[in-house]
Amino acid sequence: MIVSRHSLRLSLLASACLWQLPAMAQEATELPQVDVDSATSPANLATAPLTGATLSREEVRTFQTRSSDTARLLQGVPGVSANGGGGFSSMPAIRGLNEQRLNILVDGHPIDSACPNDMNPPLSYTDPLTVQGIKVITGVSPVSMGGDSIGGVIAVESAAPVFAKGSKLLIKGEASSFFRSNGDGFGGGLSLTMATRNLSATYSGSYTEAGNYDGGGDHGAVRSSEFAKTDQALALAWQNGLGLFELKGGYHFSPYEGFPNQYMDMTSNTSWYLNGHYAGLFDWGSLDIKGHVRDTDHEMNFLADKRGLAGRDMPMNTQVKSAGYTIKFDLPVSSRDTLRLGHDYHHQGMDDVWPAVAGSMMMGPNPYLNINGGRRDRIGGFAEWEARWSDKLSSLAGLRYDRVLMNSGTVQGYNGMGADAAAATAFNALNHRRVDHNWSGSVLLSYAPVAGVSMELGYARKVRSPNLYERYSWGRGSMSSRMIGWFGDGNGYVGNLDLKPERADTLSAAFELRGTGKQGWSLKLAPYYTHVDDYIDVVKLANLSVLGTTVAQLQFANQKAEFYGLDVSGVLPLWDDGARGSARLTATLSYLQGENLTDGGPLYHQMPLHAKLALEHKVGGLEGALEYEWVDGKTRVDATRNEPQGASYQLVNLRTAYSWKQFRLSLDVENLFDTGYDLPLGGMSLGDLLADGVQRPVPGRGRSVNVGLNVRF
Amino acid sequence: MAALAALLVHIVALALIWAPQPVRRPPAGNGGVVKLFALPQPEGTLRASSAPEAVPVHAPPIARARIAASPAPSLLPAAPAAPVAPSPAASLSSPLPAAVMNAAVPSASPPVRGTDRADAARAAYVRLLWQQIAQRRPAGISLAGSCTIAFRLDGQGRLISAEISQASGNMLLDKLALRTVRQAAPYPAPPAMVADGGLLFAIPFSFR
Repeated sequence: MIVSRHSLRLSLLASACLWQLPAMAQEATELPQVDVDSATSPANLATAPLTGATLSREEVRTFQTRSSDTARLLQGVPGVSANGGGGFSSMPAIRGLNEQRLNILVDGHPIDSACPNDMNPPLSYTDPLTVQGIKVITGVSPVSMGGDSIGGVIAVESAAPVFAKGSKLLIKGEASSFFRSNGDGFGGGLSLTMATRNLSATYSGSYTEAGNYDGGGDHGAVRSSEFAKTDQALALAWQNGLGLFELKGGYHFSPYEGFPNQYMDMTSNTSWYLNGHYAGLFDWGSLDIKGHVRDTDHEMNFLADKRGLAGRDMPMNTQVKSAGYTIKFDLPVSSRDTLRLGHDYHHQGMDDVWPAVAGSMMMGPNPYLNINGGRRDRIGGFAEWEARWSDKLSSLAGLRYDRVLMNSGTVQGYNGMGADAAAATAFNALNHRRVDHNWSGSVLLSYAPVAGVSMELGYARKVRSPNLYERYSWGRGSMSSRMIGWFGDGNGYVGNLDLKPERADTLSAAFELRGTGKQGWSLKLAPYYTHVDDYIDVVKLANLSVLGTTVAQLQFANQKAEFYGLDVSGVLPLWDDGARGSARLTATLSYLQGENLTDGGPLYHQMPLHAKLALEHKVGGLEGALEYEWVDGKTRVDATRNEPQGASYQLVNLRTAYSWKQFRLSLDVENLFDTGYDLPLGGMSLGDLLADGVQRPVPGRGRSVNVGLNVRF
Repeated sequence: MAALAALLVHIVALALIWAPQPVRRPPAGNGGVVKLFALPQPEGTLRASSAPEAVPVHAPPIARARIAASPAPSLLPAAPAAPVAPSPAASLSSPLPAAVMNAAVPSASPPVRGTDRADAARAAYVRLLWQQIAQRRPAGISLAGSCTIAFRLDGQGRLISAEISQASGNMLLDKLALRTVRQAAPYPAPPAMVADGGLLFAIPFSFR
């Protein structure tokens, strides 16, 4: 501001000498302010539909002490649940559709999993300590957000670059640390930004580590649940007359992550990436270009808990190299209409090799080539038309075309014996090249007739091509097929070259009522129905005997499925007066039914009816919350996968925090009553099975006292 | 005579600039809105009111009215007195504040001194301008910041110039605000009374 006043003086001095003003007043009449909000409204239909939710940095900060698993953080959003994996690798599911079917973006870029067990899903590369915001869309999303998915959207964002306003260097940042008693988990994170008016540099880094956790009640320790990882990133931004240029490079390393529901553990995961971004705003519209490159090296073997019964050594190495770009044009063609055009490309190359084990009869003398030179290349384009009929009504319609090309090279087993040898010969005799032409479209309508009432209706037809493992896993032996699968059920999976892409038709609606006044109440109801043609489920090939238990060998197959349900959420302010502070009640309820229409049975891992209630209170710098969660028993189970039923349970969590100036100290008691329960979507506890022959579902976390410290500067 | 008047104008202007400026912070925080200097009317134009200064339309009462109508709750302890930052629940889905939803322009408070017809006409014209710009308000782009665009119109309502008088620090936001003002043109022709009083306007934008 001082700068502009200075230049004002200079220019006036100059003009005083040169200027002969006629009698003309120079005062500027001020207009009222124009507010541009990014929150949900008919105007923001393309970026923030009503079925969406945005978790701000404040909300993520509230929960970062409790978990390092970003997917678990999202469970507060109605309709979102998490399929269990490792300590930081849960796979989110939205309205019954699992992680592979969702559009998950980190900083606007897709991330490929590089593992036959999906141990490194996209969210595992993020840490709540440094996440700045998460946008979730549970219902129909516009085609401009991405293709190759049939479910919702999860977009994890780092902070947009900030620049200094004056000539003084801007330095800001945030540091956090935490300790969790259950599993002795600890870690820390740092975000630091240094900026001038045109340049901005942000470093973000985090480290987290924990041992095996204990289940509640008398469930005892859950084997193979330890983990450690670090994420580091440096982002540079430069703004000038042409626009905004960004470059971000990052490195992720995990020395180990146990997977309670898999036969293997992750013994090393290294991933480095480089993201580029250009955003420009012109009179004719705006242009956004993104590019990314990523290299991931993933290794699996047995950690200590599994070596007892599984053996000492079974190395499995997956390497994935990805690259891609997205180009989007935003063209306001009239005061009412905006046209969006986009083109994107993404390449994934994979080698999945299981080296021979010295001295092993079964696992040698050759390396097992699971995926040899596999590739999955997507090229797509979309056109979208958004119309703002008035402040109250907006509509959006888009069409997208994706071409997916997949191929894989010749394979081989460890040796010439057994079912694998025959399977390799059969696989190599076939042509592996597949091309899918996928057409998708979505239509959204948003209407807000009066203040406090909003409604939205959406229909989408989305298509997803199979992933590399669904098409190209070829092993038929008991062990080799059990190495494939991200379902945590202990079953074996075999790929299917003839799989067709999944085509889903979704109808979703949302209706929201908000009370007027400063502390209004709100209620949101969001029903939905999805019908999927060629849904990739499984057919049973055989039974397998493993460590005294019976599991199934399954093959991927196209079937038909449908999902329907209702998500409800509400907020009720209780009181707000100075001395007693403010308090409010929040509640969510989710009902989901997922059905396989081909065999008439329920689909696998469908979250039972559950509800959450939270009483939050803030007075001065002190804030507290009492959370109550109720989950119904899991009675709808997939018989084909031998999915076990589960009992209903209730959990109580207590959360307190004290903020003073830029410090925040939080104390959080998770599972206050140490309730013993099984995770409905946790899978089977194979770590416990391999450690001491006990077969049980993966238990939920027992009581944990978590302490966190956070500083902002 | 005119040259003397012009010189007087400049001397007084310089004196005013060097005097400490009362900076009025906009309700949304984040960067002050520079209240562009108000010059005394040259002696040639006598006005009915005895006001020595032209009185620009004051926004603070409007802003306060808007805050009261906003439904967004906020439980953050350091809640600013300004339009509240969206709380977790509000961030899930919050339609535009009630005042904007009904496309109603917050009514300008009457000028401090009297009900001068020129001032009332100016206030009405400002309302029209605001409505026209607000209708072409861009969609949110998930960037936060405040900036002010100063723009000048001619006698027919055409846009002569527009510039960023108060930058937000983020060039994309500034460009977006500038483009909004440029593309909302042409504006309605100002009535003669308003045109005589000068056609330089400033409009603050607040992005959240």
